Amino acid sequence: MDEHDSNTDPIIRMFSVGKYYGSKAALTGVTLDVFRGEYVFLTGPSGAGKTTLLKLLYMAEPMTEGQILIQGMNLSRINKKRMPYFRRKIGVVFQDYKLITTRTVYENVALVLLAIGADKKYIKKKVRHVLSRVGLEDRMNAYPPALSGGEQQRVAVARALCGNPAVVLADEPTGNLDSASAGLVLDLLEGFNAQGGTVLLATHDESLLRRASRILSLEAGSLVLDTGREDPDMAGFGQ
Amino acid sequence: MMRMAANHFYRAVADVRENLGLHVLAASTIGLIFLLSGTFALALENLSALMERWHDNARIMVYLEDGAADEAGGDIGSALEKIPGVTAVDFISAKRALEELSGQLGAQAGVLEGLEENPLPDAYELTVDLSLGAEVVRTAARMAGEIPGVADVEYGQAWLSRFEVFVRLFRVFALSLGILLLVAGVFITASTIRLVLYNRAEEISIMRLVGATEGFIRAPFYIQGAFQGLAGGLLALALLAILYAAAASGMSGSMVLGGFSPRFLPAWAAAAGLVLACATGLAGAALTFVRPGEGR
Ligand SMILES: Nc1ncnc2c1ncn2[C@@H]1O[C@H](COP(=O)(O)OP(=O)(O)OP(=O)(O)O)[C@@H](O)[C@H]1O
Ligand SMILES: [Mg+2]
Repeated sequence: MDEHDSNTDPIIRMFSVGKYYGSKAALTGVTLDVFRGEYVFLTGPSGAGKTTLLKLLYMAEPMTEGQILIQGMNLSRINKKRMPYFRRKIGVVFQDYKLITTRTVYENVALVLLAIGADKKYIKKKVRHVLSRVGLEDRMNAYPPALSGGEQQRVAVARALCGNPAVVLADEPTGNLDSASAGLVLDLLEGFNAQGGTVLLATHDESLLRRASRILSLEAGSLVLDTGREDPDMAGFGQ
Repeated sequence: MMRMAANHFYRAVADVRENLGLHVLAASTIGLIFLLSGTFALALENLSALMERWHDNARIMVYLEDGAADEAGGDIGSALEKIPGVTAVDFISAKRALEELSGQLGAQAGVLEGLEENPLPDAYELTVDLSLGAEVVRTAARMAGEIPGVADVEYGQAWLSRFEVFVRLFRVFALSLGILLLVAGVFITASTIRLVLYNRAEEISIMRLVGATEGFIRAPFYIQGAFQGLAGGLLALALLAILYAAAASGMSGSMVLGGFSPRFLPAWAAAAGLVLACATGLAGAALTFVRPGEGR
């Protein structure tokens, strides 16, 4: 893909963003741009604020201060009513998968399209397509508890991808997986990225960082390292 | 739009299936509530009809002063005929009244033998057309009472108005009880829907995360509420019809009611009841979502 063109377009912009839980600062003064088509790793020790940062981006938590723009939309201007429409532009993958255990694999993925009122035929085609992409077409009618962790996470990735989001946010998507399953999940996210999608992936697993093109590092709520988009090399990492 | 509606409906049906016992219980309770309210409505309907019937045949007894019939009998009679609403005037002499009384007493008529003179007054019986309302009787009675030579007027007013008061009180009572029961119905639906919602809490939070609108999330619950109400309403209507049929067959042609035959609720009232039941369920569902400070 033509990185030069798309890379000039920041899809996520954060300006001195802070988040406090009561008096406790989970995130302070975070300023950064993520560009369209980037594959960014967000790293840092436990409690650094990775999950918090992602939560602010998909509006699971309100920010305390600063500004966030996603695709030019100011998140603090998005009211409750418009939030669902905003969220459809973002796919989220959670460490604990967050699949509906009483719904089949197919239904879990289809839900995203049902919720936007998509046509039944289209849903069928699309869900089959994304499930085959994550290699689970034959487990379509299984219930999540009958799947391995790696398989469940691939369902979650399928769900995140099937709405054609502009951005995928993944919070420790490989945290509960062995390295083979983790590799599969990362491959899927890389595939999405290769087709022009933007990925922001939080992890504290340093072994994954060799696959990163850009690394953001948080410590105690502050951004302490950004390898930058022009510098996919990890030379600057490790302070 | 249709596609969405079908999907909401499908999800609602799935919820009902998964929580069938709960829904049946709630619908039955609403059914009971509406059966009770419906019974009151039916009783009121028939009491009002009965009352109207008595009004329709309103009779006024005009008792004359002693000897007035001989002095001015014809004048009194024609004055009575001129009263608005009076359709018939029938003179009942003291003698005829006594004969009728002795006839009614039958075997016990002997008690009258000992009377030295007829204690009964001469009287007129007026028939009043009451298609214009109960007020006509009162006015006619008052006007009759003002005619010279008239001693007393009796038209069962006391009795009838006591009955009217009773019906009015009963109506107020039934209405307040009905409202109370309706509120109870709303809360019953709300608590069952809340249970279903609780079972779905995880799913709903996930739906929110993937961009489902509140409308999409809530629609199936509104459908379930409406369904509960409607099912309860239909149940109540069916039971009421059965109870009515049983009661009416025992009552028809009963002399006590003077040939009055009871009637069922009119179609509009039955339909209104069903709509109300449905609305009760909907209100219950709506109440489920009224939680101040619910997350963004
Ligand atoms: N709901 C909350 N209430 C209070 N404090 C919170 C809440 N969520 C997070 N925090 C605090 O905010 C800080 C950042 O938490 P966060 O979950 O973002 O860390 P993290 O980088 O994701 O850590 P991990 O790698 O362990 O997942 C932590 O100190 C945490 O205790
Ligand atoms: Mg975390």
